[in-house]
Amino acid sequence: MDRRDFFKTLLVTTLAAPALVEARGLKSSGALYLISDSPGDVLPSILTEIDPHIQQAGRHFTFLACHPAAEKIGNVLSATGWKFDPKASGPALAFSFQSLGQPSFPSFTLIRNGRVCDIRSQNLWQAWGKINASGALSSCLTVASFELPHRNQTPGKAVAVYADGKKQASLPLNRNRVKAFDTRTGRVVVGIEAGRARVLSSTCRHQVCIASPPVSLAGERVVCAPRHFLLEVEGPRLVDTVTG
Amino acid sequence: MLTRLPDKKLLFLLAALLAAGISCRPRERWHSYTLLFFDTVCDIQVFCSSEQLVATREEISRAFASCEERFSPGRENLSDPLVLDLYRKALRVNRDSAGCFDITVGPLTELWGFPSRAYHLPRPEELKSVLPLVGMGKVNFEENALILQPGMKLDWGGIAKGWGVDLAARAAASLGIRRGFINAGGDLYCWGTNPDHQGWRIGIKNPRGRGYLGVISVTDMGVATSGDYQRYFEKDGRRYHHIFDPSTGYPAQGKRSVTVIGPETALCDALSTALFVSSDPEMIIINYPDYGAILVDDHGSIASIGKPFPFDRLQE
Repeated sequence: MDRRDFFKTLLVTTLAAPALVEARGLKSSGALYLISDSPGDVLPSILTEIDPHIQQAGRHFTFLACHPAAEKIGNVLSATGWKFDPKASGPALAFSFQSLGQPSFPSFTLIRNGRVCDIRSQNLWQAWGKINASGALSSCLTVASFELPHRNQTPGKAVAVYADGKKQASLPLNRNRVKAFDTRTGRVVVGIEAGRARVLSSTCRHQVCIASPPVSLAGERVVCAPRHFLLEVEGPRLVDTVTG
Repeated sequence: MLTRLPDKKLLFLLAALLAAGISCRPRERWHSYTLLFFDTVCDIQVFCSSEQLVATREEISRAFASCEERFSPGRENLSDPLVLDLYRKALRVNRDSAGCFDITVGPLTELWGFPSRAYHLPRPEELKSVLPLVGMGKVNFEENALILQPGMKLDWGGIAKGWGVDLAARAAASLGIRRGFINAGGDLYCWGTNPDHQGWRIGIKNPRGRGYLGVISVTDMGVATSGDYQRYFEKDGRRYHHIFDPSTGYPAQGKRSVTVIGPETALCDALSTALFVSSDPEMIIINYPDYGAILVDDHGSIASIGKPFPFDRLQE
């Protein structure tokens, strides 16, 4: 399949399949759109990609519609520790099926949290190689939808700098830089590199702030209490406040 | 139709009066700010008018400052009624936990170098010489004063911050603040509803790695956590943290973190330490029917004991 066909398939499946998932009334945070007559062949590689996000106890799957390759898919999943669960509401992974209007090149699109996954990851690349090797046109679109647990925290866009109780600056995390801030009790130097912020130097005694790990996720902080200095990553937060 | 017209006029009049009434009231909105007390960042979020905010900020600062002053190591006045009051609370948890929570661990924390951060792994003979100075049973608790034996030192770190939060929250509520939270470095009290008109979502820090272990949803509750990751040093590949088993003098083993939820933050604070140290935490929490806890053992397994609270487990 050449690049043009790949994008065409990607576009078709990305546009068509969410409607199919929604039509089934599924609450999904991810979906695998697979154009293949034998989807079971590539599932193990692709599932390795989503597996770490699904709890061991949640590895149940079901079929939302009669699937021509149900047995094959079931066997492949059983061999990797998944269990068939006939209740559509419980499983972590649910398969639906639709015949394509016309035969298409085999392809897949893995979408997680609304984003197309990067195919360069080893498992996906392996699956990609395998599906392309089959060559023959396919007549079946399989949609495997899965719900991921909530992501812990979202990556922040900027880090807010507070000194002596006042916000001094908001530094974008996408721009590497080093900046010094003078508080009433001394100087603190902040560094941003590769999307993460940290305290590079401080005139405080115990240097706890320098030893603190770099921050990048919304709500994460680095505190220099002696210098009344605080770095806090800005962005939408999952929680109101934190204990621990 | 004729009968409806006067009704409409009446409604307009009522609406106008209501609007006038609303416009006279000071506008309430959410305010967030931080204070630095107890060597940590204290987050405050309250729903109030700008006028109330100024008074609240002053009251909360006053409550924290008074707590910091009263319970600084070695500076406490052992006949101060508030000190005696908190000591009684600590003594109750000490007795209910068979000594797992003990505020006389001062000589131990000093020996290990935690207050000065000049960490030191003590030799067994050093521990042996310090352990006789530990034990709330050795404090002479008279009606108007505490009398310590020579060499004994109180460490209020396991209860005073929670007490300060309770004090500050009461001060804010007495000023008419009906929604908010006060969080002093993880010891917090939240009341009313959050900005989404739901229970407050409190993230429990993951004791290993980044992010949260899970989220509890509560209102009108205190929350406190004790964990082996908060203050520790490593020597020869082993972690030595700041929560001591008063019976051995060594950091307590078997857990990574304990979060306690209940009506009083001071008790949550003390209980989190007691449950962390104890090998039988359920026997302790049974004495506190309004309190619940989330425990993470040293394998990362999570257990919930005592009164159940809504807890949404998260995963990396």
